[in-house]
Amino acid sequence: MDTLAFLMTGFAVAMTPTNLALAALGAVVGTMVGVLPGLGPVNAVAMLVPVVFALGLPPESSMILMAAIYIGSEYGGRISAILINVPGEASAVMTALEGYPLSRQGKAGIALSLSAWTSFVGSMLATVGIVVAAPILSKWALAFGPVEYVGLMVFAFACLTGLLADEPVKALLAVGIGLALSVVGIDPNSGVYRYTFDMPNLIDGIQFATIVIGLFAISELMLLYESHKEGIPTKVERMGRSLFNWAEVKLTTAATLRGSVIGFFIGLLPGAGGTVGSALAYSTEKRVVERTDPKGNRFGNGDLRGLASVEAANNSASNSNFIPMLTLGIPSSGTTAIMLGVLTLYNITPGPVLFTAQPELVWGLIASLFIGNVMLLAMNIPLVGVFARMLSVPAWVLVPFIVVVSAVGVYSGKSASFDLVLMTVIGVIAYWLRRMHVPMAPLVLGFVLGKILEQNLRRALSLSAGDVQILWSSWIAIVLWGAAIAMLVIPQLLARRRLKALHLQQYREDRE
Amino acid sequence: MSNNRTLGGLALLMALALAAFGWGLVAPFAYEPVGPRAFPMITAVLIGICGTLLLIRGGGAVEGNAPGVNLGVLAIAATLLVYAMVFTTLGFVISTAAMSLVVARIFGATWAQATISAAVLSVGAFLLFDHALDVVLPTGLLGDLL
Repeated sequence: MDTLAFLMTGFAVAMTPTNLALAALGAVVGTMVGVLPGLGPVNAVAMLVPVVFALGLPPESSMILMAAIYIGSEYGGRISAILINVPGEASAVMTALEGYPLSRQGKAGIALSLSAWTSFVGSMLATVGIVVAAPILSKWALAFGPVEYVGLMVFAFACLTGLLADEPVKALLAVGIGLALSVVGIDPNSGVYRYTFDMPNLIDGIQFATIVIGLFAISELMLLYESHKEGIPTKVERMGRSLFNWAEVKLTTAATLRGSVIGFFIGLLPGAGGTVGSALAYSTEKRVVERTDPKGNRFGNGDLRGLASVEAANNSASNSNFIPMLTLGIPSSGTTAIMLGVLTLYNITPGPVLFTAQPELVWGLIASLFIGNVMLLAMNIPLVGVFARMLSVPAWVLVPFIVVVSAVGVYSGKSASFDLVLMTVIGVIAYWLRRMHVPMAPLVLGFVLGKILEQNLRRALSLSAGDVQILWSSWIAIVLWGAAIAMLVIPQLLARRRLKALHLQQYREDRE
Repeated sequence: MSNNRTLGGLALLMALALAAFGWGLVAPFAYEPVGPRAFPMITAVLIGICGTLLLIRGGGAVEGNAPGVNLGVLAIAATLLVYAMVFTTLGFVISTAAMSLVVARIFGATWAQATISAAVLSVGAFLLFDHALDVVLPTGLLGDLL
């Protein structure tokens, strides 16, 4: 019954007028950035980092705002996928497969309203899942000392490297760059200036806001220019009937529930998120329908069940993502990595103690997920036309706006134009790295966890007077190191086996 | 254009720079067995290993941009850099108007569209941030006017 009491405290936090307003604001902003192809929650959240401090928001309010943007963008991403076949979010790629054919058939209204409904179901089930699962997972957290923290952080890096990235070496490189950036500035233990190159602006390190805005918002502008030159189709098909009917709900309920469950468990894996979840749900649903209803199978030509399962899964996964983030401090995406970074700016250490040390923050956030999802459903069914109009905002209005918000945000931290120059330089480098398929989420995580990792490493080695063996001296640490190695090695082996099977198949086909 | 070898090479350079500039990071008085140098060195080794792997494996060539795109990207980067440098001296309103004008033109606005959006954005953002949200922005040349 403890959980219920905690949840009630959470609702008390989330229901204050400020936090309700922030959740609503986040839901609107999230849906809008989700709609715009190229501009995602990660850019919006990055630009908000300095704003939440300028406004003097308490940590739980910042988290509520950012979480609302994050889940809102999942609702928004489906709108552009369905209407113009351009996924607004990476996780909406699968949505376009069934959603766009539906809108070509003049059923865009049905596809949009039904997918809003299944998104809602997926999100709500996953949030209930968080309430049930998270406290259990956070119980064993108390045995964490410096040694275990080092193991945990290595495990976090391994998760993002092994699961999220197609090219683990590049992800590991990104972690390295992030760690290197975190070292800049005065070393708190010894007072030594590290990599400051006699620049007074670097003495207290590089601001988190400068890093994330450079990495995400500034580099995005250049990527936007590329797609602007390629030209994005913005012709919107007729909407048709705007609300789904009972028969359509009945047809898709099983698919929605299956999608939600798949998404939930995929989202639990640290490092995997909506993209993996929706892909798995789609292929599962396709197989189920092929077996049980071969006559009604319209997969590829706009099957409502495919759409339903995909949307349920990616929303469910992005909600259950909060479980590894809150219980272990392992984010699964750039957005959640930034949220963790913001926590550290409030001097809150992300990790297993979060549930016991910050119950109001954690439960306020969970409660706000319930509230945010209700708001999103209420907004997304009647207002879908308004959000769709975002697609016709020209780039020449949007881009200068992004630059200004970014610049003001970065400038407000220290009132120094040095940070603006640094932001631009980081942005240009990040643009090139992103073109080279170096993932950004591990880089942010490296920067966020770098200082904590170094402190814990040094503390652990102080305890043992420099003996490295202390790092695997407890069973929790051993398990974490083992899991880290498994995370790095197993996806590689699986990929290699799949490749081998592919070659074998090719070989057989060639012989026939 | 660029491929994994370029990335690997640059990563190795970064590792070397980290190691070279980090080697002298020794605390005058050591209270703990691990000083300020160890962690940067571990990082350098990690980056170095990744760089070497990328160098050896090669491949991963990235398609070059269509002609003209690189020029645009370069123009955006240059505009932002100039914007960053004149932000305090010229002041928020003037520098933002100029930046907005150039960026809007790069993204295909007509002169009229770019001028209007620059005027609205620079003044509007100043009023919003400086006056409504209390973020102190540099007034620069316009000094006492604002």
